[in-house]
Amino acid sequence: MNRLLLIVLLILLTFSAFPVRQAQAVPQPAPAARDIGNDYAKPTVQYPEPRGVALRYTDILVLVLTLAAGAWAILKLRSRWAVSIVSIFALIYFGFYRAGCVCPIGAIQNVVLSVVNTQYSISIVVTALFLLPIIGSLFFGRVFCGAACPLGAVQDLMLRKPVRVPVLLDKILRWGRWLYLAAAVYFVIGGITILGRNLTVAPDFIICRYDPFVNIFRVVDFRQVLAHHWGGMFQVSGPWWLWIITGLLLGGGVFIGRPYCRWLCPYGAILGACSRLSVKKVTVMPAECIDCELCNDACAFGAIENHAAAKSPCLSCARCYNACPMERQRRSLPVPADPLPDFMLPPPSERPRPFERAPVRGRRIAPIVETIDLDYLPALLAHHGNGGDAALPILQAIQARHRYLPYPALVAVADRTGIPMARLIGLATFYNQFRLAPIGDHLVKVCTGTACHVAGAKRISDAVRLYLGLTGEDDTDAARRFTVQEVACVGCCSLAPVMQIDETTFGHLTAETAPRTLESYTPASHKRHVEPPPSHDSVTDDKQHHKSEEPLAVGVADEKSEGES
Amino acid sequence: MIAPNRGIEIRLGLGSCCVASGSQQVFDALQKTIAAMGADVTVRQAGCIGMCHRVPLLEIVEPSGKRTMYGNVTADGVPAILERHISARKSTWWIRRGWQKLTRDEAWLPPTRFELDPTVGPPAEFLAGQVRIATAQCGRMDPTSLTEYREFAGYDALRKAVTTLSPQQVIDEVTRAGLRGRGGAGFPTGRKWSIVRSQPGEKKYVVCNGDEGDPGAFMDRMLLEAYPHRIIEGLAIAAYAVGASEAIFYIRQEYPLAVSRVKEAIRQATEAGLLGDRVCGTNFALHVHIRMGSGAFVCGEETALIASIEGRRGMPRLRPPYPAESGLFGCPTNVNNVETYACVPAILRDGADQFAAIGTASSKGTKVFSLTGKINRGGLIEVPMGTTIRTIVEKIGGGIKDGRTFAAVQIGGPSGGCIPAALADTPVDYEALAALGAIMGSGGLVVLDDSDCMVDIARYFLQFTENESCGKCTFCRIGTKRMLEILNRIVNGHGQAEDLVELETLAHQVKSSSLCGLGQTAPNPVLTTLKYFRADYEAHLAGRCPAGRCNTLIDYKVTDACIGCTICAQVCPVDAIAPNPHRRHYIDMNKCTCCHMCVIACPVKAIRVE
Repeated sequence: MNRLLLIVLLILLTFSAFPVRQAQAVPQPAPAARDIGNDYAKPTVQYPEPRGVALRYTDILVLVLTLAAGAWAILKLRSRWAVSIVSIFALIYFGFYRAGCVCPIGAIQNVVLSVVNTQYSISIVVTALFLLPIIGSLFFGRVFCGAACPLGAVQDLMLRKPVRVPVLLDKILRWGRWLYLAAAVYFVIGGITILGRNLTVAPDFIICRYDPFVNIFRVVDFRQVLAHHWGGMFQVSGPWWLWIITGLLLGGGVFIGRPYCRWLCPYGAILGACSRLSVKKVTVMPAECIDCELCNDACAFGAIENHAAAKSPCLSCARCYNACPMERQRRSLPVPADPLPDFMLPPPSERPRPFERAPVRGRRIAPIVETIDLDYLPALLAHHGNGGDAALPILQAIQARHRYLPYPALVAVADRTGIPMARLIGLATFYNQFRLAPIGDHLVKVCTGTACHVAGAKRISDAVRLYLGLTGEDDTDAARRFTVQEVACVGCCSLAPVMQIDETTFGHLTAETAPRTLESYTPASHKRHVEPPPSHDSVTDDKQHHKSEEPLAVGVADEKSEGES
Repeated sequence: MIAPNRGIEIRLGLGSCCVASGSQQVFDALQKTIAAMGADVTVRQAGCIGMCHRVPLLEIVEPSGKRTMYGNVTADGVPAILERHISARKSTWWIRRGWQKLTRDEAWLPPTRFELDPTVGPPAEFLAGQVRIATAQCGRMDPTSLTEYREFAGYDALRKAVTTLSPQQVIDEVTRAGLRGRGGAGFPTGRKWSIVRSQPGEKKYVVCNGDEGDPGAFMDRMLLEAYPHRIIEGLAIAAYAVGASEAIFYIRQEYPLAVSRVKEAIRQATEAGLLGDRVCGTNFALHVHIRMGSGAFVCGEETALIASIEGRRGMPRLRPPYPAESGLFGCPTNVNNVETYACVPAILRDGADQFAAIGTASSKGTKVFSLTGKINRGGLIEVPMGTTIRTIVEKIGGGIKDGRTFAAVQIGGPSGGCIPAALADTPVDYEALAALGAIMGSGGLVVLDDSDCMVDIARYFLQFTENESCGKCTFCRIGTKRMLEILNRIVNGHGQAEDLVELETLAHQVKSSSLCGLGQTAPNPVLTTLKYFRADYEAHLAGRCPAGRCNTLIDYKVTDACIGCTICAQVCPVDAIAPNPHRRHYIDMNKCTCCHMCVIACPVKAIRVE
């Protein structure tokens, strides 16, 4: 409700600006001939089309009705078909019948001129023409674009095989609207003089001059038709180069959804900005969205974000409604039981597949060897003591440091404390916590406690393993980013199923969200030493590395493995 | 609008599982918003309130004493909640907030959507019927603050014990209260203490068993994280009673937060003179150490736990001699569970009679359960002994999730058993549960519904015990393996009729021929399911899994309800479903791996398991 108040306030403010401008426009006396000068040429008198006041107000009325019908069709009926009817009517009336000249897009220029030039005042009709779609957009989004704009309608009719424009490209091209708007304003005000440089141009209404569709509308001359002069029904309109632009836009429009509206239309820029604040908008079955993203595939304008039409780029064409399975269900449309033949299947959606495998960044060729720095050991042993009961805390401290128990470290502990090596290995293999081989950058612990088990822990671990491409007994992926373990309860049973990555716990997982959780862990910059330069005997060195790789090869301990570290 | 912000206090639970459900983000959002508002508010962490189904849970206490609780709070909702109670001092806040409201629909949602009133509705049902002893002052006390614990009469019991009571009087009091070991077996605590006390020898130990290995149980973690001081107090009283000067916490390494909180609490208590050379100014000395477990379930058994502290492989040994006679380093050692110690301060402070008044004839006091599984309102609950399982599941837990049927509760973890819904009126009582073939256990209560396959549950627990068996006793080592093989055969559809007989025989042999609790109770899940759910086993022998859980026995089918949304095709990891927009989908069972993802993903529940 508060938002509505805000919008009303905004509208009132906008309205108040125009009457003030008009009041300031003090009537000037007609210029005398001498004021004008000798080289004054009397302009050709242009008579406006004789239309009564009533007829002029009819245009406004029709616009209001079209907008209302459009809003109703889009937001209430939720029907693509109804929207099409309204927009075809708009194409016939505003396009062909009124020859594209009851045009809010062009009205931008009149409004701008009335603001900068106090002598130029615009009628209430033009003001209304300019403001009504904006007001409409504040309440219902870009209803004008979807249902009332003849330029949009003609492009929409051409759209047959929409292809997806890359998001980034689309975003960049969308700035074209603002550039065009800026250029239009610049030409209307006739340019400026800045820093002593004269950048003025001849005042011009470029939007109208380069309107790429108005030439189509004017091919049919309704005055001749009304006068039953069938012979003069068609007429030549517009220069040849304009037809080329028209051809390009319409031809491209077969594959690219409404290029003019999305990337060029200056009025679209204004409406897009206003529709950000709109009270209602195109929504894909609010509260019932099932996240199937079929609407995304159906939207020719890339306007679906987060499973709802983004307000700004949405052109209110209502295509997404037709694609929405929930909407179809609401309308009781049938679901045929026979599948489509393979060649008619849609291209795979751009949505990342939950099981898309993590990129394998080079297989592990050389065994990973860390140079193990054991300088901390004396202090550690001094802290925990040399007794047998200190063995577990010592192993825990070593593992906390290296994330596994390096063989040389065990040898060193055995040497210095007198605890037999067999006992250390015995402890290390008895307790599940200890690992004797290095692990990936992140340790993923999938909880298999009872609560997680009944909530489908197996599916979580399968999904994670599939995502990482692990088979058989593997627990670390090829890129050595993750090591996956199934562990007994981690004690977060009310969040089951649960997974711990390093120290962080993730709960309420599904087989779909679990792999995505891994995605959020960017490759760590975990530094690994490639191979220490062979100092004395490279062969012995090699041998040692292999030993530390396979730490269970008990009994081959020699002094060198400790020396190396 | 509230004029003075001073004194407004916000309490937020920050236990391990609260953090995992987003409490940390809420906490950060609180800090950020408060800074942006320029308000003078203290944000404090509170111990677990047990409402795990409503976390992140925050409570706002106004100076007037008015409390407002908000559950399932999201970081987005924090500004709206704070605005309701606090007026901003910084003008920039209004601009920021105004912009948020202008651009985001969510900013308009009322904060009341999070609000929960603990006196009515589901929260009241959850809290009614609970009696707090071990978890007293839940949600009000900052676990990291000694001052706050003392405000709630903390360490009064210890002071009373060491200054006015003799050790024998302490033991008498505990005996009179009827406190029994909460670790599962239910040995009377008073008797254990007097045995340790009566042993000769200068050096004695008390050990707090926090090696909570039962899958599906997290009471000990919650207690250690939320009430470290209470456990320390109980441990110190026990040490005084048995005459020990060394106390050891043995805590699972999987609980890093519990370890750090206990460590901090020990430091605080030592600085305050409540531990150390002169406890409360008397000649009683007590030094507390922490040892971390290393991920072996069997170390929850007391002799194995002692072996582990001594730095050996955690293998149980023959009893007697009991640890009370010859335990750690050959000295008399008192080993009690975390929850047992948590009950001790209340007994000494409020008197044994008050404690003994709660519960049944043979089981006194309360029991903490971690209520999980297919339940609407899971969490940590503390109920008086004698409460029926039905009350716990239906009243406190709010019934079964998704409107399914209550099938069974699994109580006591791998040592316990499955109690069918038909016997749900059994009270929570050591003897009553043992009569059904289950045990009280340490307090894991996993609720199962009709979509859970009992054979699979039995197999799951047996796999666990088989894996965790230390390997000392032949029957435990090999017997559980053979039993697991049989169960695997059954769930894969290759079972034969005589398998059930064999399974039962093996179960009894393992039970009678193992040294420690692990082996003796390992067959319980199998035996109870065989007893109460024999029909399920027979269905598996006939090649059918009634619950639709055993992969090789089931097929997936798409029903007429399909709306053609392609979601199943999008999630299928093996492309067993072709995408057919707006048409019925089909599952290629040759490719299907029964990962169940399509069933979970289907918005209209159009995929059936057969």
